[in-house]
Amino acid sequence: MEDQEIIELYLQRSEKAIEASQCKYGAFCLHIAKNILTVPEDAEECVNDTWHTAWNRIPPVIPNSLKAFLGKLIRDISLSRYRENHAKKRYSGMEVMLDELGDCIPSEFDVEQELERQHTSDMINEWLSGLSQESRILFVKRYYYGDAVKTLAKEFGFTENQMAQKMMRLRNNLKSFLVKKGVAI
Amino acid sequence: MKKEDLYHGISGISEKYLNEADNYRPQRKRHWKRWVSIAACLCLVVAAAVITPTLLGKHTGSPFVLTAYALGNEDSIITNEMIENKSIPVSLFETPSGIKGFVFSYDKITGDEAATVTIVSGNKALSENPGLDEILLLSEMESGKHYFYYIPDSADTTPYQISFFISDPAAGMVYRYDITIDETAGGHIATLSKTISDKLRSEEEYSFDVFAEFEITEGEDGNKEAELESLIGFPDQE
Repeated sequence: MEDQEIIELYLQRSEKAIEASQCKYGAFCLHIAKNILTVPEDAEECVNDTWHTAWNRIPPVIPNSLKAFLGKLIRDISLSRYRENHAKKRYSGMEVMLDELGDCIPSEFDVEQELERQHTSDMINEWLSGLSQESRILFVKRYYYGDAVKTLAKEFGFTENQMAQKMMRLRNNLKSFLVKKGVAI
Repeated sequence: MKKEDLYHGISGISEKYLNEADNYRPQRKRHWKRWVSIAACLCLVVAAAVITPTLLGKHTGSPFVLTAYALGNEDSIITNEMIENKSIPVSLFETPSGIKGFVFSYDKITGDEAATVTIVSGNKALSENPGLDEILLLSEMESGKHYFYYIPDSADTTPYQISFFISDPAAGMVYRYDITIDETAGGHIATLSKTISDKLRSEEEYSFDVFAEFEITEGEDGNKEAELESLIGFPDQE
């Protein structure tokens, strides 16, 4: 099913929207969540949360790219789950309490924060456009999808050490780019 | 900027780059037969390198010396040996059908062996270009040398970062030459940033940007002919 048709299902409030999203982007979202969380059960829960969040957000949001939109959601949700898990382990009471209080805050978009994030994304996309294809794919696989260095080394035919060095060069390159753009790091 | 800001910024990576990464398939592996055929001549390379210590030490750990090619006045060709961290001029050599690439070589020691060429490019569509074999007839490709012809992808921007691999199966080693090609007002310059040696792994552990390997021989009419030895990464054309 085309993305536009799936978005249309969300707009019509048809539950088939979730089914279609799961069918087309389930593996994509699960791949990201598993890499971030490593616990399959947590990852699956995050994927389910992603469909519900998408259901709540569309409308009023109408994504230009459903894949990028869902990718963003699963990364946000997985990060929150990661934080939650770590807070429970490390700080017991306080972080959990603060997280719970966070539920009381209306989930409206923080416009300013959203604009800042968009600006950062624009800079990263500009930086990516200037990379060689291999470097770009490596960066996206490592830092968007969360693929392990070991996995990438095997996939691209390098040793783990070589791959780690490649990643370090990429990070340094991005850092220089962001500094040139006036980002305080 | 905090780490999490960057994380969220990365969450906004454009769909076209996500798809590019999704659709990436590792290049097919170099053919074992090819490794074995190279092994024979490289044994000699190693032997010669041991006997002739001057060959050693030009690049840390590697017995091979890369030569870069540039166009001089009146179409003359200038060759320069590459030494780490020294920038030397290089030129784009263009075929009649408009393919442009940088040329490098190293000596295979056995002087009478036919020249071989590895074409390095990230642009897979090139394999369908009927003019590809013109690359091999571009200049005076000498016997006993292995050439690298690096074709930058049109989407790439300078400085180009490339790596050439030279294997030495007899010693169980592979050498990676990391080269940066930058554009200056007067043309292009290439710098060998480093040479890294590594244990030669099994064929399965390797993948290369390389997609075509040719052997050049002299035909009955005296003209050079390019024979395609192997295509890597294109199963339907093999």
